Amino acid sequence: MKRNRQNSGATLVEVMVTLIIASSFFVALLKIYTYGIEQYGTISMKYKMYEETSWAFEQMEEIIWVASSANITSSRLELNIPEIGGDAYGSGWIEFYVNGRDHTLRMNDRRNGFNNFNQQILPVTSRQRIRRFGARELVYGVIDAQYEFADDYGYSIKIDLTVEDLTAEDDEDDEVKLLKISTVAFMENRI
Amino acid sequence: MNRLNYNRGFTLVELMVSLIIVSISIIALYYMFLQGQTLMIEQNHRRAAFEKAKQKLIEQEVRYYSNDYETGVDTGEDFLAEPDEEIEFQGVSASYSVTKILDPDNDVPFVTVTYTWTESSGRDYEVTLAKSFIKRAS
Repeated sequence: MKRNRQNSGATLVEVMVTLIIASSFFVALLKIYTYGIEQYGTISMKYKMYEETSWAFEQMEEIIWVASSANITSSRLELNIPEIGGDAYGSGWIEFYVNGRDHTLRMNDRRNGFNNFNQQILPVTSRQRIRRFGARELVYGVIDAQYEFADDYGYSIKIDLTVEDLTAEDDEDDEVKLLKISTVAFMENRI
Repeated sequence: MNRLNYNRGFTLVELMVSLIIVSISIIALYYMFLQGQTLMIEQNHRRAAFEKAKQKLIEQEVRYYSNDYETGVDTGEDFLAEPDEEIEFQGVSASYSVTKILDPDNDVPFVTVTYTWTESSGRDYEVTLAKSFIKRAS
């Protein structure tokens, strides 16, 4: 069949080839975009974990500074707080422990009774409903806390915390999922 | 007019169908981009609320220890009388509340600062920081 070149439109094959090239291009762009968003999500979660763990460390360090003695037993840190400065400050024990059921780091201020001020200090936000593309909640959990005396005389305490990004895929490596962070606090008030 | 099959262009119906398909894809892509942008904006708001809550807790502690408060120490009532308030940050209206508990027996102050807000996407957020005020030995 003879075809008049001047009058011809695009053939189906030409249209299909163009569409396939254009689609591949758009799919590639889309992949780059979703990868970028995923990276942002991962980095953002890492930053949030770091920021909030630092906040928890500040809380712990403040209490370790004033503690007169410490007991370290199976991932639990107990600090004895003496009465400081007269009537305005209570004395007694404050403990830090990881609640394995909900993966939270908790501070139980027992100066006012055993469970009166049992407070979650990590994760800091108690409620957050961010969903990445409607998939999951952006949350992290505390996996482990280890305490040990950092010197031979028991004047300083080393704290190792491991928190896990629960939104990361299961097959992702530990470097992506886990944040391991440590601090050492000095017991200035140790008797 | 006799029109040869291989010379004819696209019909109106074919054009309309392809336009509809392209439009749907563009709308889907737009929403995807929008969602990504929303995620970033909301993360920024959360970070701002976290910083504000930290500042507020420090303010409360400084006021407590500088004795710049209405005395409620003996009764355990609110020692820092401060009403809950609405605040604005980065274009979001958040309600802010401070819960203060002061045990009358031990005088241990325990303060919770909470920011709650709703994003334009309809999602609710809450940032809560809590602190036991413990004075360092001088």
